[in-house]
Amino acid sequence: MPSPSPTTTLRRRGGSPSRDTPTNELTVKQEQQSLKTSRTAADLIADHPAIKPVILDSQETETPFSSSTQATEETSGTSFTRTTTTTTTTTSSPSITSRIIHILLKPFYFLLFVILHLGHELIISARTMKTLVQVFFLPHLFPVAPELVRIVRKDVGENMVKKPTHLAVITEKSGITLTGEVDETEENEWHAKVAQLAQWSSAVGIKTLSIMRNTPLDPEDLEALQDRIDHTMKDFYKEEKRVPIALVRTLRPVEESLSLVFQQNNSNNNNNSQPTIQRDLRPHGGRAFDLDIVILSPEDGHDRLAGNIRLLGKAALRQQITSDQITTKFMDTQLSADLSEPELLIILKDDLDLSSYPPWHIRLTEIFHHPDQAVIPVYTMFLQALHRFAKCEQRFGK
Amino acid sequence: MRAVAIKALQCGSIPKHIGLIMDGNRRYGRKVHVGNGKGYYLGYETLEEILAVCMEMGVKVVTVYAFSIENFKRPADQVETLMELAKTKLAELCEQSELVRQYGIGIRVLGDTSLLPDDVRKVIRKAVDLTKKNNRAILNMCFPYTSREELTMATRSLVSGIEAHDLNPSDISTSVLEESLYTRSCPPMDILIRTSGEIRLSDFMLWQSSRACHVEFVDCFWPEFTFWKLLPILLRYQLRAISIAQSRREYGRGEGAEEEEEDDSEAVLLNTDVIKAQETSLEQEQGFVMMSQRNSSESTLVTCEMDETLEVELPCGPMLEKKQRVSSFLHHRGHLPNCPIVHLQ
Repeated sequence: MPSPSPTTTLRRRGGSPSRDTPTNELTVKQEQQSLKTSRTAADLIADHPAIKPVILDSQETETPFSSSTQATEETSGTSFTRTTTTTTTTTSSPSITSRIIHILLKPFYFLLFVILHLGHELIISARTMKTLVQVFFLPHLFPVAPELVRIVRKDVGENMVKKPTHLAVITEKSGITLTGEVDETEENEWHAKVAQLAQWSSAVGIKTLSIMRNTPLDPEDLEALQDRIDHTMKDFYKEEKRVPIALVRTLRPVEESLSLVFQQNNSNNNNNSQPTIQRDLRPHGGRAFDLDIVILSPEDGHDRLAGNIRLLGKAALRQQITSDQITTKFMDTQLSADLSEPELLIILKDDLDLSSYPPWHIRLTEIFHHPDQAVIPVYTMFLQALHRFAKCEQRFGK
Repeated sequence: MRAVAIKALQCGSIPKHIGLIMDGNRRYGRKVHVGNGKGYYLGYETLEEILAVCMEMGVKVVTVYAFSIENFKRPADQVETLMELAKTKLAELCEQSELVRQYGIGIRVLGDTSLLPDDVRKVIRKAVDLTKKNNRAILNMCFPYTSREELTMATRSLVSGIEAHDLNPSDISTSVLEESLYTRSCPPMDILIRTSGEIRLSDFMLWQSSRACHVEFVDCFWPEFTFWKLLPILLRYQLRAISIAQSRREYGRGEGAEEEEEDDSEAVLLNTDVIKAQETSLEQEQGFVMMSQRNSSESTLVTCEMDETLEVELPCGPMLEKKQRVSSFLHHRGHLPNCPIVHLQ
């Protein structure tokens, strides 16, 4: 049955002896006791300047404060508020002049606030202008959107020391309009963008590409996207003999992840082998592929972790696992079974926002974001991010 | 000058929760040729300064990444220096710090403190206990912390709750998980700042920062970070504040009608709510027993069937019961001794 009733917990937390007295005692006695507690509470407040409330905007602070004292279960809520009101009157009355000064200064502060923001805006526009100029001269360096694998390889360069094996991309709002209907053109644009990213990633030699979008992808659209990527890949690699295969998928339901862990545990126990089996356990859908494209939506982030707990809880009720078994390593095997940790994350959004990208996975991910999204081509950002990544050193806490 | 700028900033929206990854202390120490250890001390001074600024602005919670579990891999003498620093500074903060007294800062230590030496743990306990009642602001020291450990800890405790039949698997939602993290009594994180030009989160506040949070990577070492470097970040945040609030609402809606709204007032009213919930659910239970007794002659079966039938036929009863069960679970277990629940003013 459920835990002890809340009323008893209230008493226990309050810690005051007066609460524990039986209710059928004399009311006079109770009053005396409550008086006593109120006095001690007042003393406590006097001793603790930290708990004393600031009384600057008296009218505003009073009500939330009294309610919060009840919530924090101070022993004598009423006496507490009484003391605050008295201090309010004593401290606020002599400061009328300072208050007038304060009111007079308000427009000045607001002016300064506006000036600060304008100045900041100016700096940002100056920076945007600078990137605009840079973008203007870009075509001499490399194309805005290359259409052949040869060009990408040349742009990336042979001597890039470090390349990510898993690239994550967060894309801008797509799909659904304000009315809730699917916006065809925007959806189409998004598909084109994904196809392009797939081309470039495969040219660089990236193994996994995870793409985050705002809304879950329709299963029908998934098929269409697969067709489109197959098609564009053919175009992209028309000079080469072999066209790499890209497979588009979404995350599998969280329920399957646990069985994967059990499988792995069993195989580990039986064979005493290294934990490298995990990668091979991924179902390939019967196809061998060179590039694994995972489409993610916000539901795969926080909610998936909560769903995972539900799953583990059910497993615990079936006595398949115990809560002591849950370690960071256990969770990692389970959560990374379907999606590996990305090494580089490119944010194709105006603001640097992680948009619920699965939190477990972005521990050591390099996050690349260009502040001038509107003026800079995606390909340029892609190259910049790769170069930035190549320069990064990871110390792993050392 | 600084005070005037702060007053001006207060015309716009002020973040409630700021996270800081204080990176680059050692590199700064080497840069100005004072050595690693001194770098840490300089870093601490910067922290104090930034903390004062934040408090003056009206920021409710400041979370700092003081020590990662991974940092135990560092050379032993450096770890030792950091431990000593933490010990002296924590004691200083809770006993003599004017800042803590003036702004009513409650100190919390987030992380797996069982990894620490005994003497440090004792100081932490004392610091947390002494400032437990301060409810106007919170300083979260992540020491030794990683976000994965936090998530694992929360998962483990919730699963153990299910194991002990205190919770149902269906009770677990995103907001319940959120409330069992170390940052349970803090408002959602608004700004995350990482210094030293690195562009990753390094296992810090992954859950909290990955939605509706303004992330900034600053290209200077932590001891060089000043209010004037914070100012443009705050201005950028103010530009985004509306969209952040909106996306937070969207996430809240996404969690479904069953979920309780993550509201500040909700937390305050929680206790009274629980009592009411219990009373009503008790009434309903009694009513139900009578009803079902009339229906079925086997009274022994009634109690067994109760849970199932309640869920199907009375959408109100089990929901309140669930709410109460979850909140009582979250309140009663004591696995987070260094993060006592407080209701911020």
